[in-house]
Order: sequence, then C-alpha cells, then structure tokens
Amino acid sequence: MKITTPMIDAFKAEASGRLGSGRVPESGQEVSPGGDSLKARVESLNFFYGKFQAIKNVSLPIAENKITALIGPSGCGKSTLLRCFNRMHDLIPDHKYGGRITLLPDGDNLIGPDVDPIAVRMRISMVFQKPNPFPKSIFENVAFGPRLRGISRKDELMAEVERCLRAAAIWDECKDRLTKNAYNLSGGQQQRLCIARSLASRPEMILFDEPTSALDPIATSRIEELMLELKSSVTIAVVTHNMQQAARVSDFTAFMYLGELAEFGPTQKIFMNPANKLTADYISGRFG
Amino acid sequence: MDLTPIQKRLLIRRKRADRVFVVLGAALAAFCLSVLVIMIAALIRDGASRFGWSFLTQFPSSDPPLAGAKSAFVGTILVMVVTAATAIPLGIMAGIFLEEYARKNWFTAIIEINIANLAGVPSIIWGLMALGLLVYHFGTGRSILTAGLTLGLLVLPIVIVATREAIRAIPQAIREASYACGATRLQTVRYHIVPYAMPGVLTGCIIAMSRAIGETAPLVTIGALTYVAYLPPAPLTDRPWLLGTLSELTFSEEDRTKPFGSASSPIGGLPTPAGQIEFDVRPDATGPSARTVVSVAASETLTPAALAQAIDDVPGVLTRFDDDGHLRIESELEEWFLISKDSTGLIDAMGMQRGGGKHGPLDWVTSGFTVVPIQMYDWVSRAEGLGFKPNAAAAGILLVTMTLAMNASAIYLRNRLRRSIRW
Repeated sequence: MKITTPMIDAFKAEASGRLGSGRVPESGQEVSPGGDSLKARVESLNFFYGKFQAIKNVSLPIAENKITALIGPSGCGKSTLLRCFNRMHDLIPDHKYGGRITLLPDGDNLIGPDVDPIAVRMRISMVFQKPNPFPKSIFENVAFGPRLRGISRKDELMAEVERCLRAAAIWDECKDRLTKNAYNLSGGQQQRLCIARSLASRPEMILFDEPTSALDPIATSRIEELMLELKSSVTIAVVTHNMQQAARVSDFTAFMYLGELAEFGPTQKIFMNPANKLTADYISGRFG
Repeated sequence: MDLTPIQKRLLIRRKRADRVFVVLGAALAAFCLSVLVIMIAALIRDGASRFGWSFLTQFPSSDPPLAGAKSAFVGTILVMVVTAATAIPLGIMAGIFLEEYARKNWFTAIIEINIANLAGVPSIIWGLMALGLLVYHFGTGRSILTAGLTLGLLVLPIVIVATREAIRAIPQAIREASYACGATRLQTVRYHIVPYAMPGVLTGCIIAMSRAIGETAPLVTIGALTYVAYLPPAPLTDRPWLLGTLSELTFSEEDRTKPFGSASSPIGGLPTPAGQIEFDVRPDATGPSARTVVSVAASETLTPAALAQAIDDVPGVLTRFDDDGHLRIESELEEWFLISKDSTGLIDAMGMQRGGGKHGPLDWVTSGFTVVPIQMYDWVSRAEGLGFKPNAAAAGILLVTMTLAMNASAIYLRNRLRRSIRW
C-alpha cells in the first residue's frame, strides 16, 4: 500500500500563495498552511528503537499558539513522534534520531546531538497519559520546576505555584490543601495538577500524550477546555486516540500510519474531506 | 439454594479443603511462633538472674556474679556504627548507580551476578579476606575499624539488592515526569528516586544490620578479643600519661628540693601548683577500675622530691629519680596503672609522655574490642561448673533486645516515611 507523504514544501507553497493575498509576516517568519506562524518544523524525521524504525521520514509543521493533534492506530508512532520534541527518548538506550526538528524562531535543531536535552525540556514540557504527580504535596509538585531553576524563596515559589494552579484551573479546588498529598486528588484533578506542573517552567510548547485516556467524560471535557484556554499562550501538540477529541480541540491534525505521516492538514479538512482513503477509514472507525 | 447432588457434593468437598488449609496454616504459624517464644523464655529463665543494670556496667571477670558485658555491649554498638557507616551509604550509592546510571551491558551484568554471589559467600571467608587484606596488608589491626569494615562488606550486597529492588518499584512515569520538568539525572535521583526508595532501602538496612549484629565467625578470624576489660577511648578526651617513661626534664639533687615556684627550678617558675593528680587503678587486668587521687596542696614550698613522695604513696605506684635526674613514675603491675588526669599541670610541665596527644574524634576505631556474641560464646564454652550459664543467657537476652530495638526503630522510621509516599 502506497502512502503519500505530504512534504513541508507543499505547505510552504500553499502558505506563500496566501502571502500574496494581503498578510505580510515579519521577515524570516514562517507560516503554516492556515497562514499562522510556525513554532516548529519536523523535517524528514526518522527514529529508531535499536533496529526497529518507529518513525519513517515524517515532515510536519507545528503552528504557533494552535493545537496540533496526532492521531492514528496503536503502534503508528504518534507517541514516539511526540516524545522526540522533548527528547524523552534520550532516557532509553539504543535510540537513534535522524532528520531535524527545528524550533522556531531561533532555528535550533531539537534533536541535534549538540543540543542539551535538559535545555529542550525546560522550553517544551509534557503531560502524560496517566496522571503522574509526584507522591508529595500539591505545592511541592508545582514548585519542583521553579526549584530546579534555582528559585528557593518561599514567597516567590508560592506566587509561581499560584500562577500555575490558576492557569490550570485547579487553584480553587486545592488552594486550601496545598500541603496535602497530591494523590488525595481525583484523577481529573491530578491531571490538571500535572498540567500546572508543566506550566511551571513557562514553556513555549506543551506536549500532551493522550492526556484524557484515563479520565471520565466530565474530567475529560475540563481538560479539553483547559487546552483551548492555554493555546493563547503556548503551542500545543496532543496525541489522542479519541477522534471526537481531536475534532473538538485541534486546529491541525496529522494522521499517522505505520510510522509514516499519512495525511496532514487543517482539522476540518481532515475530518470532513480526507484526501487519503486510510484516513477516511480510520476516522469513520473502520479500523484502528 | 437449589443445587444438583453433584454440585452439592463438590461444594462440600471444596469447602472442606478450604477449612483444612486454614487449620494447617494456623498450626504452622503457631509452631513457628512457639519456637521463638520457647527460645526467648529459655533465655529469660536462665539469664534473668544476671540480666540487669550491673550486667551492662561491669567488665568481664572470673567471678560469674560480677562478670558483665560492658565491653561487649559497647563494642557491638561501635562495630555496628562502623558497619552502618560503610555498608549503608556505599550500598545505596552502588544500587542507585546500577539502576539509574549504568548502561545495561555485559559488564554491568557481570557486576550484577557477582553482587548476588557475594551475598552467598560464607562469612568466615570474609573474615579471612579481612585478615589478609585489612589486618596484614593495610595494617588496620584487630580493631573496631577492621571489624566494622568486614561486617560492612559482608552485608553490602544485602543493602545493594534491597536498594535496587526499591528503586525498581518506582514507576517509570515518575522519572519521566521529573525529566520532563527539566531535571538533571542527579536532581531526579536526589528529589525523587532516593526519597521514594527510602522505605524499601530501610527494610534492606534492617535485614543487613540484623545479620551483622549476630556475626561471630569473621570477627574471631580477624582477632576479636574474648576478654576485654576496658572501653575504647571516648572522642576528644585527654590521653593518659604513659607510666614507666621518664620525664624530659632532669632534676639535680639540688633541684629536687627547690620549690616548683622558684625561678631557678628546672620547670622555670611555675606558679604555685594546686589540684589533683588522678590515677586509674586496676588491681589486676580483669578487675574493676578504681580511682586514686593524690591531692597536691597549693604551697609555696612544694618541691619535686615532695611531689614524687606523694605519688609514690599511691598503692602500686613507684617513683624514683634515676642517675641522670629524670623522674620516673612506674607501676608495679605493668599497664594497668594510668595517670588519667592532672589538674596541676606539673606532669606535663616535667615533660612526661602521654599516650600521644588528645584522642581525636575517631581514635576509638583503632581500639581492640569484643562483641556480645563472642562474649556469649566465651561464657558458654567455659566449664559447666564455673557457673557462667546465667551470664551467657543474659548476653543472649541483651543481643536479642539490641536486635529488636534496632529493628523497631528502623520499622518506625520506615512507616513514617511510607505515610508521606503514596502512589
């Protein structure tokens, strides 16, 4: 089965077509198919676990202050792709990156061997599939990031913790029990706490790895609302198994299949009028 | 409930099997418990008459009612301190390294297998290793240090294995969360891995220290003493002056009658001395220590000759000026006389030698020692008629109590830590 791989050039071409119709970006600023400026560019990305190639020649733009959803059947490499952005694969032996992930506007290659993965993670934070707060107090969970950056004064930490908890829409629920163990919270609250924790490093981009798959529908909708609120200040990439979720929250959708990018485009187009038959089959629930 | 006859029969049989298992289990548990109870009861029956405060405050003696386990009790505590100080930090660090840092390759696989093997090496082999390597090669002597290091190495694998197990039980998601916040490996270990592994590590430490406290074979091999009638020097105390050595200063016939205060005295005009010179006296090597004090009155006219005479009056102590005029303070009974304190300053001023400056904070590690199990064995091995049986049993009670106390404190600590960590 032949899968078409849309190349970045196609998007650029489409974007430059729009440039003629009025919008003039700042010099050097790159734009996505929707005419938005780009936060990152994945270019011919390959990734290997030992000998197994999990990602095959994927190219993809990530629009700034938008939500990009990665969808696809289990084992298609969408989580693997997401984890390339903050170099989580560096924790396991026998990994190998190929290609580039360019973070804009400075143009650093996130997966370059000379780039410090810790520096990358300070700028791109992550929220995981299963809520994974530290078995410490709510306060300490959020304060961990600021502490790592050398903030130790109690009032500064407190201000930072409050800012993050407010931004994650959980401040009202836990302001009276900041010293209580984070595991006293419900699953949905724990996940919002994890989002607050990921905001503490003031990231430019947040990666969500199936953030609601362990949550009930009400907690899920709160997380989705939160993502929509957050996108005004950060760029978001989200891996999801839930088609409705991708349709509800994302601006762009990438459909991956067997390690390759099968289709990428504005979410509306992907869901209403997919170009690829595989995409159409997956979205309509015929497989996956 | 309607059941077919076959179902009924089968149900009765299954429930019978259930009951049999419960009864069997309870019986076995009761048997194990009763063995422990009988053992402790036997110890208490035999040893209660001797066990008590005096048992802990008296040195060993040839007279059973007077023979105590003071030196063994202190020796066991000190050896355990050295053991804990070596095995616990080394074991935890090795465990962290192997789990969080080392790459998984053939080299770490070999290390892993060897740690498991080390845990199974008979303790006497460790004793032989310590005798050859520590005592002879590094010259650490038959000391608390040697014993502590030997036991430390002996239980190191237990601590390492427990640490690794505890670290492995930490969900990978926690590590990922920490790294995703931008933590370095050290920060992840320091703020997450070590705190969350601590309850499990403490369990390992309990097992390790319980094993070490009862070990006898390696300590006998490195030459632990069976009869110790002194305590290791306390940190930062004055060392006693050596007896049998000469004063540095010489006193001519004429000088000996000159008051210390006069300018022409060899001492050079010490202000009028006053105070006490204390002798630690042990009538024989095994007896209790007694203190004899020579009071030196403040007097314009105190002379070296008068001081020598005063010291000479202490039972068992001899003083004389030799042909060159050195003052010599000697003991009739070898090393069991010590000048332990001199508030007059005269002994120092005359240049008598001390056993080497002040005791440093760690001098005690070089001291000879015995431990409770060895003391116990010594008493058990003596002839039946000599009546050391209560002492041996009392030492058994002491050892069991020490182990239980150690375990109780570690379990308490572990449970407190557990309360703050919930997954």
